[in-house]
Amino acid sequence: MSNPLEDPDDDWWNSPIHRRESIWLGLAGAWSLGIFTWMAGFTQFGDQNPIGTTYDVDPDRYQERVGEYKEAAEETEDGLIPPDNDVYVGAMRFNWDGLPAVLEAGREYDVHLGAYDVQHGFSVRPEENLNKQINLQVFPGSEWVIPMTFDEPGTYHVVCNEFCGQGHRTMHGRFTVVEG
Amino acid sequence: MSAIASLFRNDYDADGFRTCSVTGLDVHRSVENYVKLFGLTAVIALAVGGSFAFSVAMTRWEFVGLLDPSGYYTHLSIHAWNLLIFWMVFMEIAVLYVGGPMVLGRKLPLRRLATVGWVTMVAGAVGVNASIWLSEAPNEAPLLTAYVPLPVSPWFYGTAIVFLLGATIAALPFFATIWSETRDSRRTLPLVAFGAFVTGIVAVEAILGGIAAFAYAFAWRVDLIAAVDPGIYRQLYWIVGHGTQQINLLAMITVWYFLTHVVGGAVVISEKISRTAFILYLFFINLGAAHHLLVDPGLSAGWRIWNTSYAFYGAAFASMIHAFAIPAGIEAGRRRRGQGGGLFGWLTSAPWRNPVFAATIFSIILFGFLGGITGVVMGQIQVNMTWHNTLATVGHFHATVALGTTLAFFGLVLFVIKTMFRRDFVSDTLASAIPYAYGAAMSVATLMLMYAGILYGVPRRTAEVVRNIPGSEFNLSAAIPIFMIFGIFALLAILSGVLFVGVSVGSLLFGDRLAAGDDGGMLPEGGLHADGGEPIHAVELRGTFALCLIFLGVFVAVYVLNWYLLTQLWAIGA
Amino acid sequence: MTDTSRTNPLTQLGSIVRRAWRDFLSVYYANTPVWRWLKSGALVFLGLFLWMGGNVLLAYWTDAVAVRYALAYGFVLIAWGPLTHLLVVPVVIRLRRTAENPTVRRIVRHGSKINFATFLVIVAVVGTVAPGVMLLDFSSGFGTDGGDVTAELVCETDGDPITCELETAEGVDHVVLLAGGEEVDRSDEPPYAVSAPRDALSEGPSGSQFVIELRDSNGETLRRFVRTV
Repeated sequence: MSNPLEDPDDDWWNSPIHRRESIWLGLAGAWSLGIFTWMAGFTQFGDQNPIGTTYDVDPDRYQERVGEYKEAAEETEDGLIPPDNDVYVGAMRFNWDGLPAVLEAGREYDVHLGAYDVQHGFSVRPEENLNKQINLQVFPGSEWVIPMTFDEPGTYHVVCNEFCGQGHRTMHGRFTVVEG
Repeated sequence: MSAIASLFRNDYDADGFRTCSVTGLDVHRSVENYVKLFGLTAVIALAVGGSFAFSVAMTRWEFVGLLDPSGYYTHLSIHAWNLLIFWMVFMEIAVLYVGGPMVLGRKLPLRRLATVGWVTMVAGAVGVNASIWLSEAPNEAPLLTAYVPLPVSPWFYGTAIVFLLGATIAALPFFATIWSETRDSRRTLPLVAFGAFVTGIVAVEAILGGIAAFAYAFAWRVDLIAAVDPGIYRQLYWIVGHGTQQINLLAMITVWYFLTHVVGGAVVISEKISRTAFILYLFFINLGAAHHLLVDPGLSAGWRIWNTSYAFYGAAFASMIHAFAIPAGIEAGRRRRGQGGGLFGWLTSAPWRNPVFAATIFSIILFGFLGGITGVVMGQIQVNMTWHNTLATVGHFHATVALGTTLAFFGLVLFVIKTMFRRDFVSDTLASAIPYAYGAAMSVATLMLMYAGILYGVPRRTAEVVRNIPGSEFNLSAAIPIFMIFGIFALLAILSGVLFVGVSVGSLLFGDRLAAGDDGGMLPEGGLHADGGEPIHAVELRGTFALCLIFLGVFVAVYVLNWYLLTQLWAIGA
Repeated sequence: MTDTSRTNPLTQLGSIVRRAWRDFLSVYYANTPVWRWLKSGALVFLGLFLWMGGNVLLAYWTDAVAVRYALAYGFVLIAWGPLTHLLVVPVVIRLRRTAENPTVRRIVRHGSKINFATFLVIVAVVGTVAPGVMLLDFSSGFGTDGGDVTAELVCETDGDPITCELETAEGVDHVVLLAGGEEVDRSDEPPYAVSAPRDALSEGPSGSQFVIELRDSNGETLRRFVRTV
């Protein structure tokens, strides 16, 4: 036992460690390794991982691609029905281009996220449970393709949660998931 | 004017030294005056940032909805920069000077650099504030992070660089001290000095990253380079963004060891373990930028996992070492002098009326339980999807910085008022109340932020979203009850902050001068002395062990709950 | 330190449990001012955690009765914890020492048990009745037609002046064009066409820019667009 304001005794490295501290080190060490292993392992066996391929793309080119997607999609009252399994979302000041959309429950879609101007935050939740929400960052210059499968039908609301300028709080979009 | 000048006058001997009646340290005039200067400047930054906490909180509490969006983001930026950066970094230079030259009983070398550093830091701080306040369309408010390519005034990036350069200059006298100390003699640095040294190294690395990030953005804003990559900027930014938080953590832990010893009678139960924990920080804590980038495009999963865990949670492990070592130090020190009894008698017999002690203990408990746990949990790459950019993130960093580090620095300022400014508190009752009032109010406010974010998905950095989203009938009004609690307790917390500033400034201006040898009520019963070679095994540490088991239990519960919520989501990811 | 290596594990477990119970009782009855505040604070945190956590789990396990009662336990604890440790325990301890009336003495001897039993009864009642203030709502439901203001903004930015109009528009009262924070043009009728000369635009980092705002009849912003030329 020593004074933190004074030099320690010469044998400080060899001083024995208290039994309870050793036990605590064991517990803390096991917990640290445990949570690391769980996190790493979950990327293999888990269903919720923020992992997807990213492509470098010029923002204007991405905007064109979203435009092409909107042309090819079927327009309905509730939103666009994607022509195949790709859903394109373009974030811009201050709108979610490509939304509203209508998707099928249980079907895996490749969701393409990209921005036309500045960084935005893609924040999604279903209407009937605000608990269930996820947030992803959207960059200009990147097209991030993340697979998503929505199992529950309902209306999902999208807000922007990265500050992108004065109209940031008006950026609201939605998509509906219907029974397959 | 003379009132301020008298604050910098103590009685020194012919060489400029005096012996502190509380710590027993040999204090030189040069070190003491600069510690006072940086500490006072820090409190001014606190007062500015805290004033803007009022407008920010009263806007997010949409029941009041004080500011409209055009004002909100400016106020938010000023609140963030003054509290998270200026209040913290000015205090940390003071902590370095205490941990280095003061603990080692030396004069402050390179005094001119200390002055230049202070002047540069103040110029940078004033400049950053001005550039934010005077920013005009199409420039946007920088908030804390000024993410490119959102257009922010180049003056902002320039003055931020000036501030960081100033902090580097101001840190040089500390490094010079450590250099001459370890070169001259074969001594091993005392633990507090060792902790300050590791803090300093982490600080330099963080600052270099910040200068790189801001220089990059500055070059783009003045058209030196044509384009800027948001991903690269974020990586560079978070070297300083999280690096500064690691400086806060390390400085706070150093202050914990210092204050628990001086006012609580704590000892160091194992120099080896505590120093190893600091070394683990040195190696691993600099990795910690990726947990801000966990849901960014373009980064490999493997890199994100390695970095966010600070290498198998090496740094979290180091924190858990200190989580045991510091209370154990108090328990061992107090039991040995006959102040323990039963499981927690050593803790409850402690000087709780001394606001320095109470502030330090609350800082330890609240940082650990509220800040540390949520930090590790939200730093798991998958769970981060539910926390990122929500108010829960804001809750986390208010728990770590606004509760943990701020309470520790409150304790340190009050300590410095007694021991260095040699002033009594203008009211002992009010001074004693500060840690309780602030700790309680800010804790509840912080918890509400976390609940709003993780349970309702309320976003951060948004001027209005709960009661109304313009152009849509959708809103998050289910969260209104949480915000009612938040608003009230945020007000109470701000009032407690006002109490702190009032008691501090009031004591400096109107407090009675303490006579030489008067310990101002700071010393624990029985004074300070180490064990005289008593082996650690002879001391009971059951109380600390019980507290740490409770901590681990809460950690596991919060971890499991967050993971459960995550697995209820739809399928995401490759 | 006790050497327990030679006793059998069941006895060891028994002694750990007994020691833990004794420690628990000593903490429960600890009566110094700081103890009262620390215990109350810790119970408020526990109460908040159980209340919030319970509400969240209830959103997923809607029929879990146990969760509802755990939730109620936490909710009542937020107030009852401080009440017990700031008021009841100190009073019980004081009365045990000083009370003269035999009835009072008898009540006070079982004071903590009475307090705890009352607490459990309240929890049971609250958990069964489930008042609205205790249960938190995590939904924001309404129909699929969210009443959004929808608009497709189309701009011609090649010529001078630049012009914009809304292709589809619902819920919009009028449209304004802003440059450098000043209103340059306004339109109150579909297709809400607005225009501005190029030199009125403000300079941004990626070129000249202007802002289109869709507003309602009160002048509140519904939607905002920033366009760069």
